[in-house]
Amino acid sequence: MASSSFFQRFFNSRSKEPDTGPQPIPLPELVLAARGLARQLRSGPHGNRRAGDGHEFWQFRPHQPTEPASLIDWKQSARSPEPDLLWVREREQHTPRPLFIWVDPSASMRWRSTTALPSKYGAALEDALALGQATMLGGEDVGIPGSRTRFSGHQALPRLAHALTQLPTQDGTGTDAVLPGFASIPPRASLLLVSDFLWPEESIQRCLAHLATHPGPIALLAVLDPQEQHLPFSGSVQFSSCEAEPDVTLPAMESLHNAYQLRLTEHFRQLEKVGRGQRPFFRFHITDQPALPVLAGCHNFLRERA
Amino acid sequence: MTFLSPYLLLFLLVLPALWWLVRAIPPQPRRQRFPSLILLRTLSPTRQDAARTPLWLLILRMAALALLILAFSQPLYIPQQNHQTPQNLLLILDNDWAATPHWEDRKKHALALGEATLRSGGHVALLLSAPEADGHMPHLLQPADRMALQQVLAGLSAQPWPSDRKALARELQALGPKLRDTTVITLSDGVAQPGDEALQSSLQPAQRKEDIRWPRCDLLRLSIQHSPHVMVQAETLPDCPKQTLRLLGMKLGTSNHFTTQANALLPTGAPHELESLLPDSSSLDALSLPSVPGPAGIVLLPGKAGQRRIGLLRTNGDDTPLTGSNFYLARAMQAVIPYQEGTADSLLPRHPDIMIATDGTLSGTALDDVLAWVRKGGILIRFAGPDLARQSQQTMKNDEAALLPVPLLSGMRQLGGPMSWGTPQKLAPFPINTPFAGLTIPDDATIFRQLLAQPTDDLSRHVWATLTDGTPLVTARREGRGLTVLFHITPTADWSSLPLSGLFPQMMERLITRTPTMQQTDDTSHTQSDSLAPWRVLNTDKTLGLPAPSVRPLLKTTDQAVDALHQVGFYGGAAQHHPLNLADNQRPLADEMALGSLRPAGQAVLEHPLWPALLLLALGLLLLDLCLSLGRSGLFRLSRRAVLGLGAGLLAGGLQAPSLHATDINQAVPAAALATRLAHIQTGDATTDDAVQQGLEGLTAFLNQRSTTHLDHPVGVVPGQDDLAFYPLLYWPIIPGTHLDDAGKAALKAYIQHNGMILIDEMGAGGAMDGTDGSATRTALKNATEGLPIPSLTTLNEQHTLSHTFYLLHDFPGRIAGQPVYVARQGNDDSENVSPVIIGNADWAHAWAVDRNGEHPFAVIPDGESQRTLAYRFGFNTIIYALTGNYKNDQRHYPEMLKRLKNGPDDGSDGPDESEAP
Repeated sequence: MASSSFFQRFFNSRSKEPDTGPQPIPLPELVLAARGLARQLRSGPHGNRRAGDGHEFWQFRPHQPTEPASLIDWKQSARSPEPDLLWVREREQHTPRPLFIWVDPSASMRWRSTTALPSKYGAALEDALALGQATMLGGEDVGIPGSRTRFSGHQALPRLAHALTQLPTQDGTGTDAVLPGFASIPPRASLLLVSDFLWPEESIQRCLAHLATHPGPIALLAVLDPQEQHLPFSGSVQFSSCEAEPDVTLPAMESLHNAYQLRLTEHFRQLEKVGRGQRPFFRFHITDQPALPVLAGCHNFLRERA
Repeated sequence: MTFLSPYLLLFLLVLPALWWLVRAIPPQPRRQRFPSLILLRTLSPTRQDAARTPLWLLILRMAALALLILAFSQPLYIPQQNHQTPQNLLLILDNDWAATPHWEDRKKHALALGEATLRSGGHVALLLSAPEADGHMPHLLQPADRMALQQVLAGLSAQPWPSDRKALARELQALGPKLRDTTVITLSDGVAQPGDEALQSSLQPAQRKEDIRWPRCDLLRLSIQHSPHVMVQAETLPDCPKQTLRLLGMKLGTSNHFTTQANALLPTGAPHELESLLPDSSSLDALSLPSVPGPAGIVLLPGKAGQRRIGLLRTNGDDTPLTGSNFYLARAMQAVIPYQEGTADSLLPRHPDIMIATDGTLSGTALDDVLAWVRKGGILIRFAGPDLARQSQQTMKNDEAALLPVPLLSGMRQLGGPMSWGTPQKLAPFPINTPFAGLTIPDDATIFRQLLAQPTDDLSRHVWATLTDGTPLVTARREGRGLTVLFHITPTADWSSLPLSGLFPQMMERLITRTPTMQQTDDTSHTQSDSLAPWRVLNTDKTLGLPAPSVRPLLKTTDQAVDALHQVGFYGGAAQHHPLNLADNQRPLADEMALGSLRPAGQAVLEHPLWPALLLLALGLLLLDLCLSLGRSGLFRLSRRAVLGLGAGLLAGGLQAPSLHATDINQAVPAAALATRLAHIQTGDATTDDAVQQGLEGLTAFLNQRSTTHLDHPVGVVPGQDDLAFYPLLYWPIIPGTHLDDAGKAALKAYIQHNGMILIDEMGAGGAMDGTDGSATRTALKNATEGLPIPSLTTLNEQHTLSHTFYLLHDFPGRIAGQPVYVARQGNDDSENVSPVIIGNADWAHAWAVDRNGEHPFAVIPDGESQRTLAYRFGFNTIIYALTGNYKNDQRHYPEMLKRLKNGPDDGSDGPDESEAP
C-alpha cells in the first residue's frame, strides 16, 4: 500500500527507531561498567628499562663509598667473590607515560540497530573508560587531547568520563567530522582512538598523516554495530543517514552484501598500516560481542610498548 | 446454493485487471536509518529489477476482493427439498397442549416450509388451531416476507388448553374458494378432538393436502379419577410402548410455587391407585410428571383436610379431663386437624364443612339450624350417648330422625359386665367401600356398650363399620345434599375402649378427609354456590398464577372440560380448592384422522445465508493485508508478538458478546426508604386501622394536589417490629384497647429522641360521636405514653407555629369540633425546637378518610364539608410542620406582615385583602 503523508504523520511521530538523536549517556552506569572491566585487566607499572626509582629490579651495581650503607643489598653482597665488593640493588626508572584517549563524538556514533544493543557511542565510551581506569590503576596518567588536565589515581574515573563526554561535536570550522586535536598530545604519550572511522576520505587521510608522525604507541578501536558489519537488508531500501548526508536508495540489497564486505575491509585496511615503523594496534569491537578480549589485547599492547 | 444478486458476480471479471495493475506498480522501498552512508554510496547496484509485490501478498488481496464480491452477491444455502415448492401455501399449526412436545421443532418446520415459498415469490398464510386466552380464534396470519414469518413464529407458544377444530373448520370455510389452488400443510399434534370431521370436510377443496406428524408416542397426559378410589393414570395414545415415569407429589407453597414432597414411579397405560404409589397423598396439592412439560404433566388435587372447616359442638363440662365428651376427640384431632369449638350459633355462620356433635349438643334451635345446614351439604358426625339412648324412635320428631342415619332401637346394649350374657366385642374388618377401608383393627379396641339400630332391610347399605357380630358401629346416610354419620358409641371411654386406641384418630381423620370427596362426586343438584370463581390458573411452566379476567367461573353442575375460558387451575377460593385438570371430562387419547397425505416430520433444515461469514472473512483478509503492507514499507513495524497480541485481542473482543446485566433493586431496601410516606401506628382493631389508613390516604392525596410533597401511600407500622426511621410523621389513634409492648415503647422513644413527630389522636373519645365519657381512652393514652419523653404541653393557639405553617388556622377541628389540641410548650418565642407530639381528640383520620371511589365515607359534625376542609388544612399544616420544622417560625408575626402588605408602599397599591394565606 502506498504510504501517504497522513500515514507518515501518524506513524513516524511514534517511530520506534532506536536511534533518536543524541541520547543522554548514563555516566554512572558507564563508570561502573568501566571499573568492572578495568579490574579484570591486570595492570602494573610500566618499566622504563633503565635504572630508576620504580619498583622493578634493574641491576646490581657496586656500592660507592659515598652512598649510605642502607642501600646495600646484603644478601647479594654475601655472594660476591671479594669481601669488599658490596652490591646495591638498582631499580628501574619509572617514567610516567600518559595515555591520551579520544572517543569519536560525531552523530554517526550515536546509533544502534536494536534497543537491545548499546549505541556505538556508549560502547566506545565504555571501552575508553575501562582502558583509562586500568591505566590509572597502574599508576599512570590519562589525558584528553585538547584539554590540559591529567587524570590519575583511583578516584579520577568519573571526572575522566565527564571530560570525555564534553568533547566538542563540531570543530572550529563548523563541520561535523572532527578529528582529535593532535597538537596538544605530547610525542611519547600513548594514544587510544575509539571511533567507527566511517569518515570521508580526506578526514581519514588527515588523521592517518597525524598518526604517522606520532612516535608513541597507537591503539585504534573501531566500534561497529552488527548491522553495519553484516548489512542484513533485502529488497529495495532507502537509507537515510544520521549525519547530514543525502539519502541513498539501493535496490536488491541482498545482492550487494559481498560488495559491501569488500568495501568495508578495504576501508579499514588503510588504518592498519600507519605509524612510523610500528603497526598500530587495530581491533574491531562489534557492539554485540563482549568487549573484554579486545580490551585486554589493547591494554597489553599499551603496557608492552611503554 | 443460490445467489440472490447474481449480477454482482460480474465484478469477478475485474480481478485479473487488478492483478495486472498491482503487479505493474512497484511498491515503495523500505525506509531505513543508517549511521553513515559513506560505504553504501560506493556500492553500485548490479541488479535493477523492479521490486515486486510478493506473490503471496497479491494472492491475499485477490482472495479478499473475491470474497467481498461473493459476499455482496448474497449467496444462500438452500437445503435440498424433495417436494416442489408450492406457490400458495396455507400452514395450519396446532398450538394446543398436545403440541408441547417438539414445539420448537414444529415452529422450525413451519419456518422452513414458509421461507421456501416466500423465496420463490409465493404467498404464505398461517392458521393456528387453539383459541386465544379470551376465547376468540386467532385470525389468519399472512406474513409478507421471511423476517415477518420468523417474528410471528418466534412469538408463538403452545396454549395450555385443547384446540377448537370446529372453529378452525369455520375459518377454513370462510376462506372458501381461495383454498382451491392452495397447498395446505397441517402440522398436527395427532390427538383426536371433536370437530375433526368438520375440519376434514372443510379442507376438501384444497389442491394438495399434507399432514406432518411428530412421533405419536411422545405424547403423555396425566389424569386422575376420584371414584371409587383415587386413581392416577399416565395416558398415552393407543399401541404405544410402555414406559415408567417419575411421579412427584407436590404441595402448594405460599408463593404459588409447588414444592416436591414425595416421588414414586408410575408406569404408563393403566390406572394405578394413588395410595399405593404415594402413601400420604391426602396432604398433597398436585401430582406432576417432571418429564412431561405443560399442563398435560400435572394434575391438581382437591384441597387437603386442613382446608376444611371443622366445628366441634360444645356443651358444658365436655372438656373435663378423661370424662368430658370432647376430651378424647380433641386429643385425636388436634395434632393433625385444626377445628373450632363453639355452639351451633357461633359455628354455623362460619360455614364449616364438617361438624362433630357429641351427645346432647343437638337440641332445640340448634337442631333446626344444623339440619338446615346438613341439607345444604354439610357433614355431621354424631356420637351416641345416654341422651340418645333415652329417646325412642316413636317420640322422635321428624327433624331429629332426619339427623340420624338409621332408626335406632331405644335403650343401650350392654356387652360384657355382670348383667349381660355376652363379652365385649371387637370390631370387624371395615368394608371396602367405606372411608375406613384399609385401616387395621387393633386388638385392644373393645366395645361394651352401644346403641343398636333397627334392623330395616336397607340397613346394610348405611353401615360403615360393624362389630364382629355384625351389629353396626358407624352408620351414615345422605340427608339432602349432606351426610350424617353416627357412631353408636360415645367418644369417651365409658362405652368402649375405641377412643383410647390408636384406631380412633385414624377413623376420625379418614372421616374428615374422605367423606367430602365421596360426597362431591355424587353431587348432582344445584349448590348454593354453584359457580366457583377462578382462584389460580396454571401457567405453562407448571406454576400457578392469577387468572386473567377472561377466565370464566366454573359451574359445578356441568361437566366442564378445559378450554380457553376455563383454564386448568383451582376454582372456588383459597379455602375451597376445586381443581380443574386437563384430563377432566375428556375422552381418552386417540389418534387424529389424517388431514392429508401423512408425512413424518423429518429434520427441518432452514436456509442459511452465507454472506455474513464471507463478509467477515473478506474484511479480515483486507485488514491483514493493510497491516502487512504497512509493515513492509517500514512505516510501522509490528513485531511478531504485537501481531499475535493484536489478533488475539480482536478475536476475544469479537467473540465476547456484551452482556448487560440489569441491576436489581436491592431487596433489602424497604419500600418506605424509597419515598416519603406517612405512617400510622396499628391499633389491632381492623375497623379503626382501615379508617385511619383511608384517612391518611385522603390527606396524602390532599397534600400531593396542593404542594410539592410527593408522598407515597401511607402504611401501617407496628413500633418495635417496623423501622420507624423513615416516616416524618406518625399518626397514633388511641382506642381503649391500645397498648404498647416494651419494644414498641423503646422504638417510639428512640423515634421521639431522634426528632420524629407523633400526632396522637384519641379518636373523639368522649365527644359528640362517642357514647362514652372518654375515660377509657384517656387511661389508655396514659398507659401507652408512659415512659415516652413527652415534654410539658400547652394548648395550641394562634401564636404557635403549627397554626400558620401554611394555612392560617384559628381552630383545629376534625370529625368533631371544639376539642383542644396540645403541643409541647416552647420555652420562649425564639425557641428553635419543634414539638415532638401533637395530642388531640378531634378524630382527624375519619374526617380525612377517602375511600376507593374517592368519596368521604364518614360524616363530619357539626359543620359538614367546610369543617372537613378545615380538618384537611390542619393536616396540611401538621405535615408541613413535620417536614420543615421551625422553618415557618418567622410566620408568627403574620398579623403585622399582613398589615404591612395591606398598607403597602406609599404609592398606594394595595396588598391582598384576604386574611387567608396565599
